[in-house]
Amino acid sequence: MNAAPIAQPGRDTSGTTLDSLLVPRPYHVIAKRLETHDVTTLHVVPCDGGRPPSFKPAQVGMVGAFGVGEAALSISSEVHQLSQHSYTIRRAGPITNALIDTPIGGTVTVRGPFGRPWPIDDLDGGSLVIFGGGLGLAPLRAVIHEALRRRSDFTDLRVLIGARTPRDLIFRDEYAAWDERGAHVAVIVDNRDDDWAGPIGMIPDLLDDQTRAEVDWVTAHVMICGPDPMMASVSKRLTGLGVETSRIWWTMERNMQCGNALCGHCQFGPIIVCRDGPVVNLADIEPYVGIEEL
Amino acid sequence: MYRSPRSFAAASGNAMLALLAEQGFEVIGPRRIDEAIVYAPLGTFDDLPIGVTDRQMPGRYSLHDSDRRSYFDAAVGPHSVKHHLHPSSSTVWDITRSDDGALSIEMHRPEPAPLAVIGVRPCDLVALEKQDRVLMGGPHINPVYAANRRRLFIVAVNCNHPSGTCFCTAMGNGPTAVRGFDILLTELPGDEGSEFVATAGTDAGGRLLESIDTDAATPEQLERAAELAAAAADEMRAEVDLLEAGTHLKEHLDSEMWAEIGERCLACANCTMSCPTCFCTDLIDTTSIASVSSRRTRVWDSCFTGSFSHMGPGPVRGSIGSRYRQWLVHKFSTWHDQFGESGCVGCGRCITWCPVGIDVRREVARISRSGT
Ligand SMILES: Cc1cc2nc3c(=O)[nH]c(=O)nc-3n(C[C@H](O)[C@H](O)[C@H](O)COP(=O)(O)OP(=O)(O)OC[C@H]3O[C@@H](n4cnc5c(N)ncnc54)[C@H](O)[C@@H]3O)c2cc1C
Ligand code: SF4
Ligand code: SF4
Ligand code: FES
Repeated sequence: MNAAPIAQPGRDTSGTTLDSLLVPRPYHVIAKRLETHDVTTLHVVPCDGGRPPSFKPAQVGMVGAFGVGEAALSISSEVHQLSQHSYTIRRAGPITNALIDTPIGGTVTVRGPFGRPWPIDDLDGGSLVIFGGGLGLAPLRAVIHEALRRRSDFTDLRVLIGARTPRDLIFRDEYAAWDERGAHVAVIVDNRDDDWAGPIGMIPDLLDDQTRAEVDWVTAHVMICGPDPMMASVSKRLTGLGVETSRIWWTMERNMQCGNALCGHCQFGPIIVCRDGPVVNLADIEPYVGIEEL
Repeated sequence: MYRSPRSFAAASGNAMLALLAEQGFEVIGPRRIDEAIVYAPLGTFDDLPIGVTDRQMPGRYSLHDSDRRSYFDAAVGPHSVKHHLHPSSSTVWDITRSDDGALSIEMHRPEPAPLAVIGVRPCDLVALEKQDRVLMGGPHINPVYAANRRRLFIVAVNCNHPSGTCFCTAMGNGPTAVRGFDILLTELPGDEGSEFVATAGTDAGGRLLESIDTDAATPEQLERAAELAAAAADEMRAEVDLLEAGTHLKEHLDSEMWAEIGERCLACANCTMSCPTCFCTDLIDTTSIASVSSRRTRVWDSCFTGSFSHMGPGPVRGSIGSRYRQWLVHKFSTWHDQFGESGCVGCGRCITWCPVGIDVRREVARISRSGT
């Protein structure tokens, strides 16, 4: 036996330990914006002076607070605005609190971007209907801007937004501009407060007679992000209108630790959300929708 | 290099171990420690559990003296090669924070010493292939696993004595190995001590066999090896093709049997810890007291814990029945969707080491046949 390396049974992985997506990169927080009482947008740039990486709508960064941990967060800035990245974060626990409380000039870390994006590059025209519930608008903001930029590719563009109360609406000051640039924006809240003159109800209620009649549902592509029950109830209404499930996309949310398809935490039945999602086609997950505790 | 089977006696086995050690390998193999067979440092074949056999049943494990002086008559114990390739705890990175708040990141670069594992069973070879697919075959690679994998030398051994919980044949594997080893042994027990039939699976294995004293295996020896393999397969007669049945579990997510098993299961996670393919990990950040440095550690986790599926309002899988369903359906059914094959090899550890003796053979068979 000579001294040559002995065993080589698996795949050759030499050089792969430097996988840059596994290495956190420090970013400075350059600005913060309070969206609602518990949601804040952080604008960040790499500390090394380079540009943030390009990404696709709905991709996530694993954003870390020193010593606390990392949270999966959707990049909420526009894909063509690469001088910085933005993350729109709700206070949910230790990590999100530490991130939101990072002072301007402070440092966070980011790995990524990860995950399957909204399929905006693969759509064959027709109408595009986007539903965002609550914070679900954060992973949709980039695709809304992208759809507006390519507005002529689509016969119709609808953005249907819902939240618990008007206080919980994020990006509220942008809706008018989206509308002006050619999106039909409609907003509904479960519970009103004093300055609310708009409709009250659940998101599926935005599919009123007029909207149902106006949209060409046969050619429609639908993107939905929000709590699981909201995505399920909207989808049920849509399939009733003749939209095939293969033309409906959801974003899935599960506990995420690694973002790299290595830790096993983000499984949803057959799907590893960080690898096969977060955007998934409804036809692929239909048998698993609505199963308790999956 | 030897292409055809060789044969040797224990003395040559000792020479093989000595050569591996000389080449810088840490050599481990099955040993009797604290009344279980576990992998531990191995100097000579005399360190092996000679004349020891095991009894394994749902929730039961014990060692006994056998009437013959074989080296490899005890089947798999609670440990698998996973413990040495995908350790229960490993460092991911260290981050230090300077006075001005700047963070510097140091990724842990594993450089493990070469490891030779003696006596790896056919089921565990298949388990290694499955972990390869998960931990180095996807979009990203677990660097600790990959580094450990590269330095691995395997001397596998075919099983003559399946235990009472072994079911590799029902999963389409074993009891003989077909690939994934550097050297494969079949033990031929005899009154004068055992002989071994040895086949090289790699050039390195062939070179090692050339360096020790062996003879060409005789037709009689090869025939005896085949008989032993056939007898071992016979001992595991399976009524149900669990490989096929398992794929249907995902069609039974609504079954009331999950809740019923949830009443028996303790959510202790023994099954996932002893499973040679379970790969799940948690990532934990800890800081120094002065908060100037933070280390990220990767530790084994299990889908039986509540924190595993934690999200805002609480765990997605709150009930124990739903956690048992995740384990069984993942292992036998959705693993096919995720990685193109079953996640189970049929080693039986989860049955033996389950404190309440839940038997996956029985649960897979009855749930996949149920009417939901
Ligand atoms: C694909 C994806 C995109 C997301 N996008 C956003 C976003 O744009 N903005 C936003 O505010 N939040 C988003 N989340 C949720 C965010 O990741 C969690 O709120 C955050 O991890 C909670 O961490 P915590 O320590 O503050 O809270 P805790 O509840 O204490 O969390 C503890 C741990 O549980 C895990 N965890 C808890 N809740 C979630 C969750 N909902 N999803 C995944 N892991 C969780 C995390 O790993 C965290 O380390 C997203 C989640 C996913 C999976
Ligand atoms: S059975 Fe559970 S612990 Fe094992 S790999 Fe699957 S999810 Fe992870
Ligand atoms: S099945 Fe058995 S070993 Fe697995 S968690 Fe339940 S009690 Fe523990
Ligand atoms: S977050 Fe670790 S596997 Fe998806």
